[in-house]
Amino acid sequence: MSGPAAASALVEARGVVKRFGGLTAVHRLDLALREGEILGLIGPNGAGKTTLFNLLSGQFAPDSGKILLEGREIHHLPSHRICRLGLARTFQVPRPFLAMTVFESVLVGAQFGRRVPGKPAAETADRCVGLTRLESRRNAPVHSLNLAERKRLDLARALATRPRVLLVDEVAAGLNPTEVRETVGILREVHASGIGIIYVEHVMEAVMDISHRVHVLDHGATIAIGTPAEVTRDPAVIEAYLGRSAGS
Amino acid sequence: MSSFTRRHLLLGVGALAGLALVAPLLLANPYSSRLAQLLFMNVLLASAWNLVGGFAGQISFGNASLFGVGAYATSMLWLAGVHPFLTMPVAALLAALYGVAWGWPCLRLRGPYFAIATIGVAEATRIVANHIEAAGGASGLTLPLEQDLGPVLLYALGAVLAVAAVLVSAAVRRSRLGLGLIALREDAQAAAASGVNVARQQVTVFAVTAALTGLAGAYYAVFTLYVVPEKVFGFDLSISLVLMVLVGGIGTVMGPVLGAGIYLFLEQFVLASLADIHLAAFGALLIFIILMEPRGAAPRLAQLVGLVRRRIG
Repeated sequence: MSGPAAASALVEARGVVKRFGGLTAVHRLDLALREGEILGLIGPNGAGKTTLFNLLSGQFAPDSGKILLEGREIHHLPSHRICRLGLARTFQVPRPFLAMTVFESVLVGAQFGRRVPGKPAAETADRCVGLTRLESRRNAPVHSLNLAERKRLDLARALATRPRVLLVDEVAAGLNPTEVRETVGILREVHASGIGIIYVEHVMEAVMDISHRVHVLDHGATIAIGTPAEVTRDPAVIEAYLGRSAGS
Repeated sequence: MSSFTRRHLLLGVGALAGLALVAPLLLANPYSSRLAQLLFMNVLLASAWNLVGGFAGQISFGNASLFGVGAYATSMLWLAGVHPFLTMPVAALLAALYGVAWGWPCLRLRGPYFAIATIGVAEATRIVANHIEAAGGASGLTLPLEQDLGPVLLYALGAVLAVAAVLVSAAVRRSRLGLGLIALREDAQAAAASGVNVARQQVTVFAVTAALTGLAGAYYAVFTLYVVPEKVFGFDLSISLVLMVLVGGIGTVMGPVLGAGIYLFLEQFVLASLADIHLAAFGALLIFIILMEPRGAAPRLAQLVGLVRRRIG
């Protein structure tokens, strides 16, 4: 991705490489999240989706390549700086602050995230608790939350940092159909409030439903980019997921 | 979130008034005076330790290095003719600087790695202190006995220091800093992803821990009038802080206060008769607490208070 498209990209990865010893988890990857977009990120297990999230959010530094947030290089910055510049994430397995209440956890994001003048942290935290349908659990200890609630709490904490970009990692996995629908509804609201989303998901009905474009990874490299309809017809994608048919 | 409310201030004043009321009892004889001084010092030390050990979850076995710096700073300045009260801010500052100097690299480690590093730093500090001739070397320093502040002034000083330490602890607990510390204790990676500068938060609170621990050392010097590396930089001291806080309730504001009292009681009345094996006895106690009541006495006491309140109300 370069040229005019790059200028309007909210987040951009250019030629990003990440190796773990002899294993190349991400190989010369180009990826762009455009302004106002929900970008689905799919691929078989081990394709490099979570590694890419860890690179974008500063948990790992890439071995080579660049990562830009609103045109600014961020690949050398630590996690908390990237968060404060407006990129927040959730975790595949929720990572709650178990000793806190729901409100306190979300307040962490509101107090330490991106600073927006004139917005008291407690107000932001309460708005995010409400957005993620956790009002009734506001003062509950986090350890009493079930999986679906913990996933929404991860989301609330990330949103409380007032991000421009949100990385969502498998927020629908392990949920029942009602909970999946509810979660997809929350993501739509988040998007409507002007936040760009990169959405990693194995639950296809969720990711295909709300993504404007889908970026497909396999073995750390791009195998397809397109609308949900396009990528589901793409032979390379079908092969990556199902294998080559015996006849061909 | 106001970090320091009027209620805290009132509680602090109330605590000081209470301590003033019981002063005649505790100042009845030299032994009870000494017990009060030790109690104040323990409260100060345990509250300081708990800031980084309880809130940030970084268990230090090296706080004696900070205590010793405070004790020696006050002793040497006093011997040079500075009034002991005026030496105390200096003692706090030097301990804070020393704490930041070794805390900054060591706090990048977590869990047992940090704990082991703190033992190394504290033991190295003790050995070096033993060889500084200007500070009296291994035989230490004796302070001017004729300038003793007297039991009343020492009691008042100790009470103010102890109450101040508890108020600092309560203020930190309710502040943005405290929220960040608990977040990073629970999950450092998730805290960083939420914007918490993990390294800076830890070093900041460790500077406060170090300053208060240095003040405790300074206080120790003015009431014992004798400092020696084996005592003020000693490993026993570092261990005793961990015990106090674990007994009382780690990560709470009142736990260290409770633990400081329980520790003093055990040390004076139970373990005095077991002098030779007192460390073994403490070790057994520690194992017992971790197995039976890992949250310490404070939560149980809170439960009891709640129960009594419901009965009365």
